[in-house]
Amino acid sequence: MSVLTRTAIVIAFFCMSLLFVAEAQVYNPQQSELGGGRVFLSLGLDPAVQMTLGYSHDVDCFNRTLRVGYDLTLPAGKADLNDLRLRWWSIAPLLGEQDWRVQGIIGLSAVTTENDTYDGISFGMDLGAQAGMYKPDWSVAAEFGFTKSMFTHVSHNDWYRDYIYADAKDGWYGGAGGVWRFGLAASYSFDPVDLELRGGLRTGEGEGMLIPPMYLTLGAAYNLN
Amino acid sequence: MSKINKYAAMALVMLAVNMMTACDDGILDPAEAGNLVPKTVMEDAALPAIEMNGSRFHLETFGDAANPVLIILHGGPGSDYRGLMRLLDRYDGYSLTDSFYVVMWDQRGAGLSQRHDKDALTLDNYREDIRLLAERFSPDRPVYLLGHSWGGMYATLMINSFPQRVAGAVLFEPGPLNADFYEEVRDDIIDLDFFSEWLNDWAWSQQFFTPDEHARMDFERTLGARSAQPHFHRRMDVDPMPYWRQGAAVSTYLVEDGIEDGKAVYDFTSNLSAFNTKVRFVAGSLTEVIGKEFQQRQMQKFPASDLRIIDGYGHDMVWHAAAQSVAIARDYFESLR
Repeated sequence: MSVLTRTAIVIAFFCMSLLFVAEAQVYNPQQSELGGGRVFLSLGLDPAVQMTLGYSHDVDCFNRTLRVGYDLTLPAGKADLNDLRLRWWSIAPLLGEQDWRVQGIIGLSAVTTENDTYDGISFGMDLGAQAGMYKPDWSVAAEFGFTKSMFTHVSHNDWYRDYIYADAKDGWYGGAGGVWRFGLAASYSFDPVDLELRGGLRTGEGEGMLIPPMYLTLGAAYNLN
Repeated sequence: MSKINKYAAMALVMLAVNMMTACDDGILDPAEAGNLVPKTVMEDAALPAIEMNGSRFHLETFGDAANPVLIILHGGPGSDYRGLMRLLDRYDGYSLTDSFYVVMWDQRGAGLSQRHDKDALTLDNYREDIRLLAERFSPDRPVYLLGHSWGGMYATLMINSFPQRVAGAVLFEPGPLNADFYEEVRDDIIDLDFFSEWLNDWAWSQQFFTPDEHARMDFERTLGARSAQPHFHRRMDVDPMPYWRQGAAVSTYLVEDGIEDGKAVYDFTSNLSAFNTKVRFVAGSLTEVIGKEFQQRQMQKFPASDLRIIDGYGHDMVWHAAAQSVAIARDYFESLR
């Protein structure tokens, strides 16, 4: 699969996810508690050493306020766009009213890579939850999540074929990866700036250990209103 | 749902269907050997193999079975003998198969041999594997050994454990032979620059594949093959030392078996005083971590040893300088007779 094709698929995926988010926005925007949007930047290790830029805003859906966001992540290494991740996500309150809350997280992602072994694009889904104390100025919560690589297209490169495995099969691989994460998420607000810290452990679905086995990110968000 | 969103939903479904049917083979299974990595002797009955010590090994023999047995030991742990095959070629009219019955094999859990989980990947099992291998092919006389990197350590383990079963050994840049040597170089074995392309490619790739079973573990290991050890391997873009399939589990768990509480505890040198035959060490002049100076100290653990340097080559000299490697081995073996 060419770089152009991969890029086109990622853009198509991203545009279509925006249309679905648009429906949530128009459902009942007057009931949004916070309104407006926020831009954010985070740096850290998750799974690579990486930087994430994003935008989120609050929308109302079925009398609940959701936070929906989009972000772009670039890992460290060569300064190019061969490795990137685009993600659409939403956080929704599930339980609790005041300080103590449980929130659910769902996300869709498209990831590309170009490494010594293969060029790839993968479409994944995130599911997770956070449970903890949410005060006006700060929050701290336990979080767990599961990220599943649902469809992954791989084109093995010449180096891999020439020196390791000539008959490696290119194509779509199903359910090729899954990562569980367990950790803590905390935030503190210096309105209009919020600082966010997340960290914890990562593990796969089987025997092999993930390297690194942890994640740690520090982020800052700026509230546009 | 508005019309436009219906169309978007339809387009997403079509995209998903397109993904699933884009390849003639349909959706591929990443866990199935043969897709991302080659099949082992457990999936491909056509591969030459033997059964031994509760495992199945990829193995070939070369030369006249009446000759003394020379066992070739590959590196890693976890690599395979593909990168040592040039040692069997003929140089200046001579091949090792003229003098020896050569046994090439992929060690337990490595290359195209059977995969095992952690419990079976121990130094005790490795020790028993090579004892049984020597017994099988050379029951009546001691064997000769030729080991590269980890293979040199493995040869030393054999000598240390069964000195009477070894007639001689050539060690091409063996890794650390005991815990002290290991602690000396452990931080230089892999290039752990957190901003390097290879390390971030490795971590980033976990959004595509996670090492959940042997096929994906072994495939993940290839991500570091080209760039993870710049102080060892050279010419990685042109004519790198090849392999069939890395055994990720054995390269992890066998090393762990020699470490307790984060500190190396193994010692392959405790009984080398019982082996009085001269052992030949070989180093590449370009090797930065376990080259000439390191080997000069390691060879002191043997009662009798010498060292040869191959100029202009690094750790993979058995592939890039196979002719010189064979000449040095031949000279050594002939000196023993």
